[in-house]
Amino acid sequence: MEEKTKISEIIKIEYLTPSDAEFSENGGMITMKLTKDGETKDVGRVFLHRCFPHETEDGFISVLDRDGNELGLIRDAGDFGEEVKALIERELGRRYRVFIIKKIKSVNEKYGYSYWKAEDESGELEFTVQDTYRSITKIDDDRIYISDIDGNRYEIPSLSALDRKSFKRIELFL
Amino acid sequence: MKNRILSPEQKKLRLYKSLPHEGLSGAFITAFSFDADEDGNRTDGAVIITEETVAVYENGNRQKLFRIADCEKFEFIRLIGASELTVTDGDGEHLICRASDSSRELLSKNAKRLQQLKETGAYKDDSELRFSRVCPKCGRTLGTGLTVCAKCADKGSMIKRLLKLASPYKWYIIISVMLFFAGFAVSVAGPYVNKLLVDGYIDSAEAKSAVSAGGAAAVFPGFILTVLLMLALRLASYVINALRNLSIMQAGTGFIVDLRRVVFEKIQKMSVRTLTRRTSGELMRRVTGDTAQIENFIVGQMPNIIQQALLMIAISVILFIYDPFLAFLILVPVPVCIFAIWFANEFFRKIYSRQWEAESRSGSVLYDIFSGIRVVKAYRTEKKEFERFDKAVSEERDIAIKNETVFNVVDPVFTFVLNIGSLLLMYYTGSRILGRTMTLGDAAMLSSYVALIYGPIDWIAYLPRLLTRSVTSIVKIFDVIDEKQDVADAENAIEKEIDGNIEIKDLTFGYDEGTDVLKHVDLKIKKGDMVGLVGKSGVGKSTLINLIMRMYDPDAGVITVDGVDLKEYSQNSLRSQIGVVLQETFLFKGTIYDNIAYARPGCDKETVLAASKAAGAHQFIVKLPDGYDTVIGENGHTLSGGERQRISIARALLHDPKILILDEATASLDTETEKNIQDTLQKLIKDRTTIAIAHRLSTLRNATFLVVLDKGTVVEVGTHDELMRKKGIYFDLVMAQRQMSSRKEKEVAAQ
Repeated sequence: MEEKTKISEIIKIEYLTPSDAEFSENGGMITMKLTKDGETKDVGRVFLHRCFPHETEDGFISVLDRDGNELGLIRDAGDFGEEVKALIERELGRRYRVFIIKKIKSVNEKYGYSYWKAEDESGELEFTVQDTYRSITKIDDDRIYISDIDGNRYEIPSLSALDRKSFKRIELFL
Repeated sequence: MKNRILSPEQKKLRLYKSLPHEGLSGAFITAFSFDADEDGNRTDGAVIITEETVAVYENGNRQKLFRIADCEKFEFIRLIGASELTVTDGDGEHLICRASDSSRELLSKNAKRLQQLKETGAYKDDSELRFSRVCPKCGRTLGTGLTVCAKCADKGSMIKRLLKLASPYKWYIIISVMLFFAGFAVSVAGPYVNKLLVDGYIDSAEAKSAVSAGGAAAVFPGFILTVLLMLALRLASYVINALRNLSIMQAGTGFIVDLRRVVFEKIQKMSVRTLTRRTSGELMRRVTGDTAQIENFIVGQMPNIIQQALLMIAISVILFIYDPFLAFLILVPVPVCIFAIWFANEFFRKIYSRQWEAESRSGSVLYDIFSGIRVVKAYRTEKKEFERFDKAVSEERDIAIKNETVFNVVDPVFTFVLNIGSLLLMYYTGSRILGRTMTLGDAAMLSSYVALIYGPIDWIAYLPRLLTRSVTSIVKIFDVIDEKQDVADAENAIEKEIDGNIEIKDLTFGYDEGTDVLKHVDLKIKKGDMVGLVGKSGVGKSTLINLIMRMYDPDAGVITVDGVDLKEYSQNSLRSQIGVVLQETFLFKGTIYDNIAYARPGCDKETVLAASKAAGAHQFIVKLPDGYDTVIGENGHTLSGGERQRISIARALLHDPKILILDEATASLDTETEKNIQDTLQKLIKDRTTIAIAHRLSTLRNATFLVVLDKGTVVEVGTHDELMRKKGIYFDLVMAQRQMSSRKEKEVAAQ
């Protein structure tokens, strides 16, 4: 099978590079100018979607226009230099709103729901989870996501880094 | 404290009053808070909307002010775990606010409201949110599909309503209550007769002296009588219990069937929108699980609660009369025991539910691997799958070992502590017997009573959990029963034969908050027209059909049939005159014949055969060994996609509708069969209004006119020829399909 062709050679993924994509920020939104075939076009507001939100936070980012058409992929935000990388990260942080839980103060189960009191870096969080076991997603043995009843997301990046009391409170649901 | 929770209106006003008003003009409309700043960090933000302005505040300070007259477009954008409200004006797009997903509906509603205000200068206030997620009484987040949280539901009135539902079985319930009083008397009398036996004959000095004086015959009749009395009591207890269980069972089974009927009927009446908000698993749980839980509560737990409580009170009174100190000794540890057992129950429930979850996880891993075993073998991933299974069962084992260890350490301790009470009692009664201040009979009676008191403790400790579970079920059931029908029949709904003239005026509709699937659609279809709906996937073709069938009500605009608003027809009468064939055919378990005749139960065999023939189903059905009697559906004969579709078409034709809807009805058929069916259909649909969706555009060539949808709006209307000349979207779609089929032809030719 000498003639074996790689699928990635046939289907070309269009990656954006600093030379063809220029990102800027305006009032909490990210906009882009795209250069294609020597022509620069202001695409206006773009939307960044992570292809692998659980694994690669700063890489493989799909850039979509207002109508949801993909303009290209960012392979690694770092390729765009520190300043743009920071901008991309800020935008991703806005799009993927995840509360990082530092501490779990209480988990009360009542009437089929669990009521959580927790803390993230900016203060107290209170949320309600339905069907607790199924609302907790294990990314790996140490990292979990919790989805609340409204669709908000909470992450515990490292279970082993939690204090003992917090861990005891969540342990039964793992 | 009753007014602690503010009404939404009060909240809005309070928010409005707490913020500076300079720059605002026009009357106040609404105010709401948001929780994320421009960079997505948490903040204390608020938005005030007046008739002319939109003001945005953060931490009490005004950050932005927009004049509605200068704005072009207000938009709701859904992010992940958050959403945002934006505005576009002459300077481009600006963020108004961003908030967590809990405020999703609020933002989407206000985007619509602002757009309306911008376009018409007025707004329609339907301030009730469709998916209110907060309990109106306590402010807790509500579960899916609930309108009031279990904690705040008026449980008293719910139980009253339940009892009302149980009223047809009142005689069974009354009998069981009476029997239970009888049984109660027997349980209390038992130990007393026992005492009479011991003190009067077994351990009685008088009896002993009577026996030594006149032989056993002197006391024998009395002794035998007491023993017989005990036997009678035992017997009575068995009979009473059996009768009581029987009457409870009678009431319970009848009641549960009634309750299931009520819930099922209600669910069937729900609109598709309401139904899609609840999963089918959830609905199944309502009909089976929750009703069973309620039955258990009404006929199992409630009588038990009363019985055990009465028993405890009665025995406590007897004990106090008999020996207050002893009663004190026995009763004081009761609350402690109840608490200890409750605590242990809760603890064990938690650790075992974790084990249960692990078991079900490894079960589902196993199911997953076995159902995909062919793929596993094809890709040679047996080892990987083994490891996955091994990991799941090891986890299960680890949890089980841990739980068993904990259980075996904790449980004996509990049992030991609980037994200390009876040891104390033994010591006390023993020393009194030795001191001759208590008879052996008294001691036996007391220990029987103590057993009667301590017996239900275990049960009482479990009571809070049982009650919580039942109350949750009751609340959930009433939530279904009380659900307001959002697609309900009007009063004096019209039932009449329709002609099939359809008119759609300025129709806007979305399934979810914020995303309109159809926008400002206008369409006129005359009786007998054959209309083809064309467009890419996801442009709203099926949605339009759903609306014509009144599966949903439009968010704005109207649909009329023969000049009468759809909402004025009775749904039953309307749908009985609309026939549908969907791409996803659903066949029930039963014979092919039953499935076709489903649309017109009781019609004669010839009509069914004719419909089946018209749909091109007859040929393959007669070749089946069991013909029309072939059982299909679960565990039945497997049909191909095309065969299923033909049965479904036959069903719709048999229905003889005034309006026929074909949603990709012939998609699973080969071109030739499709053509045959098309020809037959052509004859059949002559006087009927037909609306058809097809991706294979050639099937729509005979349409009276075609409607091309794009992104939820009608972009082109005309006959095939007109649209081809126009060279718009339809032209592109046709050309793309032609290219594809000619390429295929070339490939076939080359082979």
